Amino acid sequence: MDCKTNRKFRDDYLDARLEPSLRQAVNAHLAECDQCAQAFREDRDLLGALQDLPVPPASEYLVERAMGQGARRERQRQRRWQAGGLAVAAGLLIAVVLGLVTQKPLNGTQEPPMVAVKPGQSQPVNLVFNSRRRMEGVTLSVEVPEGVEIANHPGKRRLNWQATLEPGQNLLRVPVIVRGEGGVLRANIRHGGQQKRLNVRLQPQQPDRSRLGTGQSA
Amino acid sequence: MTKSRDGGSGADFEAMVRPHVDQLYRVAYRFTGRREDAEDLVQEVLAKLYPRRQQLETVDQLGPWLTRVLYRQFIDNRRKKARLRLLENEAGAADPFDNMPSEARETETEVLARRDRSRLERALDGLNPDQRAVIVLHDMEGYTLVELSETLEAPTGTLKSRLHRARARLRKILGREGTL
Repeated sequence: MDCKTNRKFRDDYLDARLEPSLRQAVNAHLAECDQCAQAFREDRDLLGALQDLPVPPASEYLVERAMGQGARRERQRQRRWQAGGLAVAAGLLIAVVLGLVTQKPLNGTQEPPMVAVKPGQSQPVNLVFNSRRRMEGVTLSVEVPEGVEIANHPGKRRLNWQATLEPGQNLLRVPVIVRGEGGVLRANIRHGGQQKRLNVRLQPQQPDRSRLGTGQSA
Repeated sequence: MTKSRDGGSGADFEAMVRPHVDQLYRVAYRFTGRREDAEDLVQEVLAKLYPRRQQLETVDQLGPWLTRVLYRQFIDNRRKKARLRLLENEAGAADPFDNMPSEARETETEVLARRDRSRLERALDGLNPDQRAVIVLHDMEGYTLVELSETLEAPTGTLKSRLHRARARLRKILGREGTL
């Protein structure tokens, strides 16, 4: 057996899926080819290293949080249905549709969507801006309340910057650390005399069985 | 005790899924590489299944079935995420302190082991979601190709090719290509 043929059986040999006669032939080649033998050792070590990668323990009450989330989703679905299908958020994302003239809050007079966050830890809040067209020179700003910190900018309550939105979904990830009671994160987007606001209530998770899920929107 | 529209109680649901949660979380962590993301993924799956308690009662092999649902959700989330264009912004800039080692003093061996693990985790991040899933389930969690064929709903031949490509990609990322 030559190196090229041996290479063809590389994975099957590693996974012990070769017929005995073929396995024997590969063994014979490995015994006389240092390069292939070294590659096999590296493959085996890689497999071992993958299996040894540690998994940190999960937080307590994962199942209870999921059940709470499932029950809330059901209630929200029923409420949305009753309210004529007013949908705001999907999964872990808080979404806003741009290109509308209105400056009203996303939910009109309703409370802003709520995200449960673990106190004292940096966690991303994901905001999705749906844009119908490319928009250059958009001014984005994010403002956090007392007791909430933007992870990379301790002490700064407000950030402003220019960005370009592409058609479709644009993700803004804001890493926050909630240190106190939480509060409302205000995102603002301005372009050509129009603006759109998106408020998200950051709620510290309570260390009890009824606490809300990480990063989930209400 | 909460009753869903489909019937069944919250306690029934908990009793059914609880024995599988550790394994689900473990696979979710291997898929995502971050504890928070893994918990979100498991929570999302369970929350979706919660109103479908009666359907769960009819599933023969709940463990592999839940793994399949988790895999689908993982792929779905990644595809949705891939459609999102990440806005360049200073608020979302990577935190340079994220990968700093803890303050505890480490031995040289521990430092090298941590660097190797970190390198391997970064290499896994370089795989596409399907490749990562097959490496996780086959190479890390010990599923056979036949079992994976059921879980991932793909022919064994397809999975074997996928595994081959995933390993080749991993070796390439780790700089091991061309040694055999």
